[in-house]
Amino acid sequence: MVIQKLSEGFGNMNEKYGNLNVVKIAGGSIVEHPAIFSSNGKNLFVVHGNCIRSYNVETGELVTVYNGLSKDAAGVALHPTHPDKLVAVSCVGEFIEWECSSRGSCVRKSQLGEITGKFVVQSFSLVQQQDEETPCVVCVAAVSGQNQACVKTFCSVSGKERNLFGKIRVDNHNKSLAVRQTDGEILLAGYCNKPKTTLTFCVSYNGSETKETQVFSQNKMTCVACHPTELCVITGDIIGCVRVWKNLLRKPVYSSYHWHTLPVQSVVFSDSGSYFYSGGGECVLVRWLLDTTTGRKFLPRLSSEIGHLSVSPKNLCISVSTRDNGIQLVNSSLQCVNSIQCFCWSSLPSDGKYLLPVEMTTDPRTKALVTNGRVGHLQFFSVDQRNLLFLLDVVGRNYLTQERSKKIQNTDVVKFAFNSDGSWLASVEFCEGEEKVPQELRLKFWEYNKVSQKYVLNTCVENPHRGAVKAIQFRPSANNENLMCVTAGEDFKFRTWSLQESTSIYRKGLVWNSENVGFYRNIPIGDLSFSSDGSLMAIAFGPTLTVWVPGSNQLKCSLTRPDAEEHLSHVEFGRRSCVHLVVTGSKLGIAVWNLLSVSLLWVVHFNLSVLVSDPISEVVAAFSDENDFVIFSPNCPDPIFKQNGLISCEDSQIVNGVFVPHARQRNSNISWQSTSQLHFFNSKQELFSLEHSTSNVDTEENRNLDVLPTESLKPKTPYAALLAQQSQSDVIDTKIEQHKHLGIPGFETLQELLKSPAHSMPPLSLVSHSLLLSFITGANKRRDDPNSHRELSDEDDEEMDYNDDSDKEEKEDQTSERRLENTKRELMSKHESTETTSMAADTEQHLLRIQKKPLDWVSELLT
Amino acid sequence: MPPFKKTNVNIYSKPGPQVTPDTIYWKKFSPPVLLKEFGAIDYINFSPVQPYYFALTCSVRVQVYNPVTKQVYKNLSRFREAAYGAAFRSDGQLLCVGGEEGHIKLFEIKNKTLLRVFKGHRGPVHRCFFTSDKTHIASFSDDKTVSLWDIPSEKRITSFTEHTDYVRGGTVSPVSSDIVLSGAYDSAVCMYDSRMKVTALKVDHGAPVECVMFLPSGGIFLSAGGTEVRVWDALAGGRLLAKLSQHHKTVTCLHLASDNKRIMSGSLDRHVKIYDVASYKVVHTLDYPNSILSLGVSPGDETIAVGMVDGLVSITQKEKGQKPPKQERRVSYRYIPDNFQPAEVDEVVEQEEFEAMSKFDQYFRKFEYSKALDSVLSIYVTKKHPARTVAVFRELMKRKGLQNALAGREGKSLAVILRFLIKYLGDYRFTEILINVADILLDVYEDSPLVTTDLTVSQLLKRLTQRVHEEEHLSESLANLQGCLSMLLAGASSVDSSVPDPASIFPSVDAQKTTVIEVKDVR
Repeated sequence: MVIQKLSEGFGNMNEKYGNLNVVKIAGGSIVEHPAIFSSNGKNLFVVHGNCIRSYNVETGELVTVYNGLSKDAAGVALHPTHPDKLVAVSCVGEFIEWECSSRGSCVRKSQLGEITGKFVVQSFSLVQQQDEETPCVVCVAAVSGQNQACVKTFCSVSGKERNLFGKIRVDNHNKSLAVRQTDGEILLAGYCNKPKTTLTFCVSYNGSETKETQVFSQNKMTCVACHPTELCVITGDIIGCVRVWKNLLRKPVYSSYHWHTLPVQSVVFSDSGSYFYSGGGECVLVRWLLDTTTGRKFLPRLSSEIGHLSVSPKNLCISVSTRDNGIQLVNSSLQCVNSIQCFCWSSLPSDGKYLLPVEMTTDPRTKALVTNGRVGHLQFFSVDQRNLLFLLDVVGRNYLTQERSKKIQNTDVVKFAFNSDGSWLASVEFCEGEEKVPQELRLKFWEYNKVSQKYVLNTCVENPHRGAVKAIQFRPSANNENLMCVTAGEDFKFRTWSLQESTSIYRKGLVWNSENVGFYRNIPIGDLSFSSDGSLMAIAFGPTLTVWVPGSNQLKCSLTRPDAEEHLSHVEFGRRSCVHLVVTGSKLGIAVWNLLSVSLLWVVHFNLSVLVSDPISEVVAAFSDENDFVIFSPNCPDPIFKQNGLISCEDSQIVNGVFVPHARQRNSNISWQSTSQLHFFNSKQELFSLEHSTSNVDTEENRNLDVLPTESLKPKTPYAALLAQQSQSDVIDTKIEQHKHLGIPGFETLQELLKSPAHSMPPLSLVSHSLLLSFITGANKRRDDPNSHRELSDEDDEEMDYNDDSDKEEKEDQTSERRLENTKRELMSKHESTETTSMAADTEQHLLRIQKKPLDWVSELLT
Repeated sequence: MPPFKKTNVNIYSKPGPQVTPDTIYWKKFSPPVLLKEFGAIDYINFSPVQPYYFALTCSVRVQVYNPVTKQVYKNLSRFREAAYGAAFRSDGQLLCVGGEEGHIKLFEIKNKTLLRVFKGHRGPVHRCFFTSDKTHIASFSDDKTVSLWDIPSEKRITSFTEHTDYVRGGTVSPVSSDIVLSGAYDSAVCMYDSRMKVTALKVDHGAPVECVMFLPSGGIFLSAGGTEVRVWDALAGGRLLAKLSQHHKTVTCLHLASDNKRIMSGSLDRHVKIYDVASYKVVHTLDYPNSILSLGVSPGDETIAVGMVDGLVSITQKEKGQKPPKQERRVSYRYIPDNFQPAEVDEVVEQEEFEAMSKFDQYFRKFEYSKALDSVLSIYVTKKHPARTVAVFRELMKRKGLQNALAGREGKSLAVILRFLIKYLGDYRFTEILINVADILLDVYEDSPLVTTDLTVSQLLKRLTQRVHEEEHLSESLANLQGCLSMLLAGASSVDSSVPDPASIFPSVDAQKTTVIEVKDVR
C-alpha cells in the first residue's frame, strides 16, 4: 500500500477567494418575546431578531418587516397615545418608532441613557405621564450574566433616566415585570426569585405619588400580568399555581387557581379582565373565569409548549407562541383559527439544551431541504422561497409532555433517506430505552402517492436492529429498478431491504422485506455510502473501510490504514470524476482511498464532525468541531476553499450540512456552489448558507418584501397586490335571457277583451294598439324611457374616450360616477336582461310603423 | 388543536391481517346442529340438485337428510353388513352404495327402490361413484381392484388390478367419463383410462391414501393420506405441484368449497383446514369436537356437514338473513326540515364528527392511567386480543405511568394482571414488555400486605416465579440449539472449500471389480 501524500493539515487553497459571508437562511426565533396585536386587531407584530415582523391575523401571511435596530430587539409595543405607531427597544437600549402603515420606514430613533455597554435590556413597556407629550420607557435592564435586574425608566426623546418608581428589583427575565396604565394611574408588578421570592407592587399616581408594597412567596414565580382596569395582578409559579392578587396597596391577598402541573409559562388577562388565560409546558391553553376557580376551559394538544400569550383588542384573538417557533392564533371560543409557523424547531427540554442529532437531506422531488421538525415530524423547507412547505407526521403519536418529577421521552425521527427520484422515503424513529422501559425502534417506508399528493405508509418494521440505527440509505438507481435500502445498526450488522410483491392473498402491492444481513468481524459500524451508480456499497466497520456488492452481499475488499486506531465516523463515495474514490473521515483526519488501485490516496489531519458531499458535483465539504470549514475535491488534498471559525463556536456548533441543488439557474460567483448550494445547521437550530461578501444577498431579515396595500384589500397576498382596483374587459358577457312575465304575455288583456259582450266592444282600431302592446314583454317599462338604452351605449363610448385621454380632467369625476353606474348595471344585468328590453323596443317601433300603414287593402279583401 | 392520535395496538399483534375476508365469511355460519348416529360416519355426499339432500353412510344404513329441517328424508337400510360410500348421481335421483359384503347397490331415492345390485368384488367396496356420462359406476374395493360397471346391463366392464393393497380412495374425472382415479393403502395413486384398459398414470403419495379428489378442470388432482395433502398435475405426467402439511394427524377427507375457490381437508386431528385453490395457503380453520372422518359441502356453501368417528354429525348452515343496517342516530331535527338546502346567506356550522375511539384511548386522553389499564384487563380483551393489553402496558411505560396504574389494587384485580403475566410471559411478541411489567409490579407490591395475606395473589406469585424459571430454561436450551445449528451452518459453508479433488479419489476394490461395458447402437 502506497500512501501518496500524508500531510499535517489541509494545504493552501487552489483558488483565491475573499472571506465568504455566512447568511442566515432560516431558524430565527419569533417566539422569544411576546407578540402584540395592532390596535384594530388585524395585524400581529412579532419580534424577529433585530427587526419586527407584521403578520396578518386572518391569513397568517407576512405583511411588513420593520427594520432599523442594530441589535436584537427586546420587545415591541404600541405607542400609548398614538396606537398607529409601533415602538421597539433593542437590548442595547436603542429606541425606535415606526408608523404602522409606513411599510417599515423609521420615524424616530434615539438612544436610551446609560444602557449602552453596561446593561442588557430584557423587556420594556411604555407609560405616558399625563403632563408630557412623549411616553417614558420602563425597561428591565440587567448586567449580563446576573440573576437580578433593575427597573429603569427613561424619557423616550432625550434618553435621560427618570425616577418614577423608585428602586425595584426583578428577575433577569423578560416575563418578570408587568406594567399597566389607566387614567393617571400606573401599576407595576414585578417579581424577584433571589434571594427570596419577592413580589413587588408599585402604583404611581400622576407621576407624583408612589405607593409600593412587597409580599413574599414560597414558590418561585415564573410570570406576572396586570389587570387592565382594576388593581389586580396575576402571577404564575413554578409548581403550576396561578395566583390572583388583590388589595395590593394595603395587605395583598391572593386566591389560587391550580390546574397546571408544570411551571406556568405565561398568564394574560382578557381585554375586559373578566377572564384570564394561562399556559405552560402541558401544551394546554387554559381559560379561567376571574371570579371562580372552577370555571375553566381548555384547548389541549397545541403543537408544543406554550411560551407567551397575548390577547387582541376586543378579545377577538389570542396569540399563543409555542416553543416550536410557531404562533397559534386562537379565537375567543378557543378554536385554532390560524397559525404562523417559521422554520420549525424540534422541541427542547426544559434545561435549554438542544436535542440532537439532526438529520438533513434534500427531497429529490421538490428540491426542498428536509430536516427534523417538531417531535416526530419531518419538515420540508423550501430554501428558494424560504418558507416551510409542510410537516410530515412520521411517528404518528401524541406528543407526550413532561411531568413534574419524571422525564418523559418522545419517540423522534432519527434517520431518514429518499430514493433517487423521491418516490420513496425511509424513516427510522427511535426512543432510547431506559430502566424498565424497553427501547423503541421502528423503520418505516413511505411511498409518495402522486394522485393524493401525500406520503402513504407502505411498510412498518418493528425493531429492525438491536440498538439504534447508525445510517440508512437507498441504493441509487435509474427508473427505480431493483430498489434497495440499507440500514446499519448498532448491533454491528447491516441489513438490506428490497421491494417485493406482497405474499398475502388478500392484498396486492409491494412491500419492503428484509433480504440480507451482513457483518464484518463483529466490529461496530460507523457509516455507509453507495457509489453513484449503485454498484458498490462502502461501509465503515470500526477503523476498516469495507466495500460490498449490494445485491449479493459479497465483500469485495476491506481497507485499513496501518496506523489507524480511531473508528471511522464518515464514509462518502466520490461523484462525477471521482467515482473511484472513497472519502473516509474520523476525529483524527480525512483519508481518501482509490478503489481501482486499492490504495490510500491521501490523508490529512482534521477534527472532522460533519462530512457532506455534493450529489451533483464532485466537491466535498467538511466541518470540524471548532466550526472550521473546508471544501475539497477527493482527488486532491489541496482545499478549494477553507475558512476557520465559520461561525463563533462559543454558543453554537455546526451539526449538519447539506448541498441543496439550485431550483433555477443561478449565477453564483462561487465556482463550487455553481450547481448546488451548501446549507448548514447549527446547534441553535438556525440554517445558514455561504455567499460571497460582495454579492447583494437577501438575508432572512432584509429580504425585499413585495409592497402590499395595507387596508384596501383584505387578503394581503402577493397575488392580490397584482390585481387592479378596477378592471375593464372587452369580453362580451353572455347574458341569459330571462322572462319578465310569468304566463302568456297579454293573456289578461285578451281575457278582458273577450269577457265583455260583443255588442259593447269598442271599434277594433281603438283596441288593437293596446292589445298588441300587451303582447310585448316589458313594453310598459320601455314606454317611460324609450331612448335610455341608446343613451347608455353612447355614454359607454364616451367613457372609453375619457379613459384613453387623461387630459380631460374636469370630466374625471363624472367618469368615475358613470363607472360606478356601469358596474351597478352590470350587476343588475343578472336579474334584468337589457338585451330583451332593446329587442322589445325594436318590435314596438316596428309595430307602430305597421299600424300607421294604410290598411285599406284589407277591407278590399274582405269585400 | 390536532386530534388525539390513537394508540397503535397493532405493534404486538400477529403479523398479517387478523381479520381476513375468509374469517368473516366462515364466521357467518350458524352454530352447528349435532346429530348422533350409530357408528362412525363413513361418508357424506350432497345431492347436486336442490334442495341439496345429503346422504349419510354409517353402519348398516344410508340416511338421506334434509339440510334445512335436519330431518331424515329417506332411510335406506337394506344392508346385511355395513354400508360404505353412498354417492348421488349428478341428477340427484339415483344413489349408489358400496358395502362390507362387496356388492354395489343402486337405489332410486324417491321410492327407495333397489334398482341394481352389482356383484363381483371379493372384498368390501368403500367408495363408488357414477361417472360423468351417468351410465357407469366406478367402484373401489378392498380386493385391490378398481372396477367399472355398466348400469343398464348390470355388468362389469373392466377391472384394474394395479394396486397391491386396499383401495380406499377414489374418484371420477369431472370432465371425462373414462378417467378414474384411485388411491390405495400401498400409497400409490393411479389414474386409469377405460378406453386403454391400462393404468394411465401412477404417482406415489408417500403414505396410505385415504382420499383423492379432482379439481374441476380435471387436470389437477389431490391426494390425502398420512398428515399430508399432495397436489399433482395430471397433464404434466403426474408432477407434484404442492404438499400441504397443515394437519398433525391423518387427513381423511377432501372437498371443494366456495364455488371451487377453496379446498377443505378434514383430519383425525379434529380440524378442517380451508385452503385457497390458487396459492394452496390456509385461509381458515374450523374446529370440531372429535376426529373427522367425512365432510360434505353443499353447492354455494349453504350447508357444511362433518361426520366424526363417534357417530356425531355436525351440520352448519350459512346464515342468509342479513342484519338490517344500523339506524343512524338522529339527534334533533326539530328545527330543520328534511332536505333542507341552506341559502347563501345562511352560515352553515358543520356537525363535528367524533371518531370512534377505544375505551383505553379515551382514558389516555384524560390521563386516567388506572382506568385505561382496567379497560384492557377484561376477560374478552385478555383472551381474544392480548396484543391490545400489551400495547397499553407499553404506552403506560412510555408515559411513565405504569407504576401509578398498577399501584393501589385489590387482590382481585391484581390477580387478573398476574394471570395475564403468567399466561403470556412466554409469548415471544410480549416477553420483552411483560418482563418489565412484572418487574415494576413486584417493585410496587414489594412491601404490600396483599402478598402475604391474599392467598390467590401469593399463589399466583409463586406460579409466576415458576413460569419465569421455565422460560429461563427454555431460552437456555434454545440458545444451545441455536449454537449447535450455527456450528452446523458454519461447518456446511466451510466444507465447500475442502471438497477433495475428484482426481485424487481412486476407484475402490469393488468398483474395480464391477466392469461396465457401454454398448452403442451403431446402425
